[in-house]
Amino acid sequence: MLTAQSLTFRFAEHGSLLFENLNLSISPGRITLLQGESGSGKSTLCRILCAVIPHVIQGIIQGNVSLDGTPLQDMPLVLISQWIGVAFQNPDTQLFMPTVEHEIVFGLENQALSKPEMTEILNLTLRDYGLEGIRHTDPRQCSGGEKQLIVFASVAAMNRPYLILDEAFSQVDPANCARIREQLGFYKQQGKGILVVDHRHVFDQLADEAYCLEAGRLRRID
Amino acid sequence: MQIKLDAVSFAYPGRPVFEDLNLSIDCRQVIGLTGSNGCGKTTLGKLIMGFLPPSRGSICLDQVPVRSIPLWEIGRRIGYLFQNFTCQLFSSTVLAELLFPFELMNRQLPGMEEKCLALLQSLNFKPNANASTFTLSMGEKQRLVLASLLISQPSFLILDEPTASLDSRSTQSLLEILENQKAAGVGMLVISHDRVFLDALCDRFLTIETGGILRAT
Amino acid sequence: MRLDPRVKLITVCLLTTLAVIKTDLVNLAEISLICLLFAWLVKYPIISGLLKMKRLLATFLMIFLLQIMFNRSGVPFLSVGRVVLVTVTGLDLGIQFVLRMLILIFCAGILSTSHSRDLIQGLVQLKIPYVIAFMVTIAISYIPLLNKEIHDTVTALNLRGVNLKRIAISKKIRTFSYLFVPVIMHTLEQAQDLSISLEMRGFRLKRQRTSWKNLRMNAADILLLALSGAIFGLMLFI
Repeated sequence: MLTAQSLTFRFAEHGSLLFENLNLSISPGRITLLQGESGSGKSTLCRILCAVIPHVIQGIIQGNVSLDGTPLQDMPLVLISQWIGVAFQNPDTQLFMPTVEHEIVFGLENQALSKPEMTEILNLTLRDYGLEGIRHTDPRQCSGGEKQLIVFASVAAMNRPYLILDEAFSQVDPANCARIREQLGFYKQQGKGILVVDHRHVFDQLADEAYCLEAGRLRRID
Repeated sequence: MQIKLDAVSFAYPGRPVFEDLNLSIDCRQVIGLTGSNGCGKTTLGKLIMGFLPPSRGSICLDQVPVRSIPLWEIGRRIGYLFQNFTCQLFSSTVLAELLFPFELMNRQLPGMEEKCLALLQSLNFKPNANASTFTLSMGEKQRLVLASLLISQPSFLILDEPTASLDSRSTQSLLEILENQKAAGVGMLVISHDRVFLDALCDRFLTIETGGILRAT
Repeated sequence: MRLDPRVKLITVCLLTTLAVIKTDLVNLAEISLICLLFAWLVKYPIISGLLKMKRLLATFLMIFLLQIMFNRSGVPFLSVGRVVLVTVTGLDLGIQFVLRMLILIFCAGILSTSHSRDLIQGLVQLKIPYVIAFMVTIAISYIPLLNKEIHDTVTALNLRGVNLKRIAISKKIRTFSYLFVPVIMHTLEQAQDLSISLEMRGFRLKRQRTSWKNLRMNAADILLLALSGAIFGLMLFI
């Protein structure tokens, strides 16, 4: 379980408090939806849950953020990536390769999988996300929605037990959102713990629990 | 004002987008443009603005080829909200953001500052005029960019995925702002997947289908 | 002709090394011709490539003229009365510069005919550590993105009614600050986000990473590599 307990956070010593005594758990086999106004701290919370804060971005954290009992700040970020897959809103800073298929395979190469394993995962991912037609296309030449889909497919292909999706589908069209919903349902059945931040109410039906972040506190939504 | 696309073809390297596209836009209308990812919605907006040259055909603004009109002149007639609108912010404070083009081009008029403040108020912009643009929320940034477009009193707006970065409350606020502009006679081309937003605002709907075919819906 | 990226990398390396070492105009002209031939062989669009670099070529011309103007030693080439305008040495240095730049342009064009992933794989199979190979190609592939960022910012500025050609000189510096400060800040933000995304995709997770595609040289690759080596050896001692 990915847990934030009594989380209090501010960016600087004398800065304003962003969260106070916040508690949130991402459990295996469950989808948690997080909503809230722009500037409420949803992206900051996502970055704390995957330990980007404090490993890369500075901030003062009080409370515990842990993965199956192990505090995240004791683990290097690259080791955390073995457990948590993350997709952020801006796809331009999450694309590294000259073709879609290379982009999907990039994470698999980093995991040192064998070539037959990579080929199988690649073909399944391309099929599941409807990307076969653009497998040889440069992702940077694709539209915003396509880029977001490619990023998510690349993260999903890595098969991490937890997924944090921070407004990762803001530009995706309704047909592809339906495809993503189907895949998220499948990942949930596989036992993955998933946190989705989304404004568009596209994943409301899929979520097991939903929260709204306002004034630094989490309010459960029915 | 009229925008006319005549037998327009366009392709990115190795990726055709439009073939013989014909479209006529009366700039008093509010048009919703939708379609699947990668079909060419943003590309159509860029072609209309003259950012991209068509490989064939012509795109005219009041019968003048749009590529022959300087961008600074187009900007006075058509306000364009980029999908990534943060690249349309240049200054460190709110008021400076609205005033700097006039200062640079020596086009300051008496009462300019009051006009800017009145415009911000009409857009329900809460932060004060000296607030830093870096600390604004996405919704506030978007409203500031809209203000910067509207200060030139364009008769037409092109908005590329205006609700993609906004929460529900900001989306509602944006809808109210655009409805007011519509009532004031400003026409719009709104590119979006958000069908609820488009249905609430637009009079005419266009969909780009596979193969770059434009269909009225 | 589809060549192994390693052949392109090694050949480019040899040609640019020769371009640095050689100072003789005939040798430099020969190296430029070899680059041109190689660029044609790998189907690099030479004419459109040169046209895209119109502004750069104008800069080269300017530097060529500066070389001529500021190198007055040696035998006069062009004089007006007693005033020596151009010397043979100045002309020589100017032409050397232009030829070297052309060699660099053609070499960059030759490398651009391979995917960045293929170039990374080529460097890795040439025993360059993956991290270095990846960082170099990411940096290079970021250049067009930076270009686009600047272009979008200039477009957005133009659309705000700012006609860059009509701004008074006294205000031009301020204008550039409106242009470059957002671009620089955004670039720094993007660099941080890129590094975060890389780590979350497991970059440097394992000591040894695997490759989905491995490069294999065919007979044509080996022949061309041997030819490049022979030309390099020959030209080194001419």
